[in-house]
This record gives sequence, C-alpha cells and structure tokens, in this order.
Amino acid sequence: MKSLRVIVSVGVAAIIVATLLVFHVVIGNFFNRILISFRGITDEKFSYEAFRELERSYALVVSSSSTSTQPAEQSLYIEASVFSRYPFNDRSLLTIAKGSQDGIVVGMPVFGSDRILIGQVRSVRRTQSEVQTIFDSEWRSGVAIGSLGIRAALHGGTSPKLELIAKDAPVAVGDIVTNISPLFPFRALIGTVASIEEKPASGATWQAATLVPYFDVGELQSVLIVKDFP
Amino acid sequence: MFNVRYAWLFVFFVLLLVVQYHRLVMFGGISPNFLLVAALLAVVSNMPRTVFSFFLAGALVFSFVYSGFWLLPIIVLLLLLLVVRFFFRSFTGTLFLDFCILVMVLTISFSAIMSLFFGTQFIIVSILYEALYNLAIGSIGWLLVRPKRFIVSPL
Repeated sequence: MKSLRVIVSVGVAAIIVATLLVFHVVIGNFFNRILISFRGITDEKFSYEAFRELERSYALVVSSSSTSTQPAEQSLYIEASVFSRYPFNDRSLLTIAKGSQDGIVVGMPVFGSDRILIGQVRSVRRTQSEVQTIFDSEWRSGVAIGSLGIRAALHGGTSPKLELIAKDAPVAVGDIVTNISPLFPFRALIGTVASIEEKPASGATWQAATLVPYFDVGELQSVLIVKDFP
Repeated sequence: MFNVRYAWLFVFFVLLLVVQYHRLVMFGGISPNFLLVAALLAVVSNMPRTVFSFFLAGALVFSFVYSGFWLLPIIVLLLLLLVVRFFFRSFTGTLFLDFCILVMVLTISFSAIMSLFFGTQFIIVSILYEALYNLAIGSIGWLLVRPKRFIVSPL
C-alpha cells in the first residue's frame, strides 16, 4: 500500500514538472500577465496623463525623424513573447520564445514596440534567445538628446544613466533620447531625460543625467526583433 | 524507504524556481532569492545530504531545460548551497540565528562572486536590500516550516 502511494506521488510530481517544461511559453505568458496586473495596481507613477505625454513625445520624434517616412510594417520585425527573466538582481536579461529556427541571430536589435529600442539579442538557441536590455549594468551605447542631438553615452542599470554629456550642453528634463549607435536603427527611441545631476564643478568636462525608458522591462510581454539589420 | 514528502518538496522547489525565473515578486525592482531561502531552510532542517544533492541536481537539470541561458549563476548558487549543506554545523547554538546569518552571508557572497564572474559593479545597497527581503521571506518560511519539527527519514 505504501509503495503504491510512493509510486503515485512520484508519478504526479513528475507529471507536474513535465507540464512546466512542455508548456513553458504558456506559463511564461501567464506569469507576465500576473506581473503586469500587479504593477498596474501598485505603480503610482503610472497614469493616463503620463501615457498621453509619452504618446505625444513619440509622435513628435517620429514626425521629425529623417527615417519616419518609412511606414512601420510588422514584417520588418519578428514578434516574440517574453518567456522568462534573468532570475537574480545583478543583470537585466530576458529569454524570448524565438530562436535560430525562427531566423534570430546574435546582434539583432530588439524593440519594445515599433521604433522603441529595448535591447539586443545576445545569444541564440534553437527555440529561445537571450536579450540584453538597456537596464543591464553592462549596457553601453551612444545616444543623442533632444532636437539638438546632444551626444551622450547611455550606461545601463536599474536606473539607466546618460553620461559624457558636454558640460555646457543645454539638456533639459523631458528631452527625448534616441539612438545613434550604428549597432541599432538610427534615431530609435530610448526614453526621456528624467533628471540632470548637479552641475559639475568648474574644472569638470562632462555632466550626467538619468533616463526614463519608455518601457519597464517587467512590463514586457512580447518584443519585436528587427530583421535584416543593418 | 523513499519518503513520499520528498516528491512534493521537489515540486514545491521547482515551482519556486519558476517564480524566480519570472521574477514575479519584486519590491522596488529587487526580487528576493526564493531558491536560496528555500534551500537554506532545507539545510537548517537537516535534510539528508543525499536527498539535498539530488534536489540541487534536479534543479540544475530543470533550469537547463526550462531556461538554459543562465546556467552559470545557477551552478554557482547551487555549489554554494551544497558546500553549506555539507559543512553546516550550528555555530551560534540557535538555529534561527544560524539561518539569518547564512541568508545574509550567502546573499552577499553570491552577488560578489557573480560580479567577479561578469565583471559587473558590486552595488552594496541593492544587495543589502535583497538580503533583507530574503530574510523577511525566510522568516515567513521559517514560521511555516518550523525546521526543528521537520524530521525527515533517510532514504
């Protein structure tokens, strides 16, 4: 009798673990939805006004960008659902449920939505790929700030920073930050300037600012991988 | 004879891994390390070394199949836990105090090792936050499990 109980218990446990493995994408989506619904309730910063403001700034950049005449075609991208996140706090990496069999290759830029840069494919397996996001502490890329295109270096992290901004450059809170690194589409949106660090001392050459990206990496349910780039 | 509870403990352990992989619980962008806390509860509960090793090996295989990109940090964490299990002796005389110290020390050591491996910054403030979260989660786990009463029979 006892051995029967053991066999049943081990069998049921094995079925549960096997189910987790087989339906991992469904489970990933399920967890992501729960995560987003939690954030929606608890994030005080999120409001409809903030959303509208982001929409306005996005429309402004798209209309002023030299490449904005090109329509946003879905076929430019491969859409992939976010499956899981790097499980610890020292990095910001994602696993997406598309891999080499879907045409993903290392280095492809990853967008959160049309023209909004969120990361880059770092490694690829047959059915999954790993994406390094701009929240990763190892992320470095060149960016331009505002309509004047002031040059800066984006340093990733839990709160990404804009560094190496010329000391006298007229950077203002709310300026839009776009990509100028050749590794990603030119003028892809990254975020806006959140705050400017105290003006540097007279001898200093650079100033720094903090960035608010358009996406919180925890909110991402799916991403768009840019095909055929560069 | 195999203890039936191990099968269910293993399922629970795997479910914790899944929650960890989706970072379901986050406070201010910092996620507690459920895997570390659960394994340390097993350590202070005096889970047999053989069973504990099988658990960790199972967790490694599961991680490889479920989300295989991050094996290095998982291996480092599991090795740390294995070392702690094999050399654990109560060093304060109070099991709960041992547990609290282990949670703090392992959280900080794991982060330090990972920052060495990846060459990333070691940001002590966020690591201390994580250690406190781990301690809070561990204390709840302690109340639920009550390690002194958690007697397991060997294989």
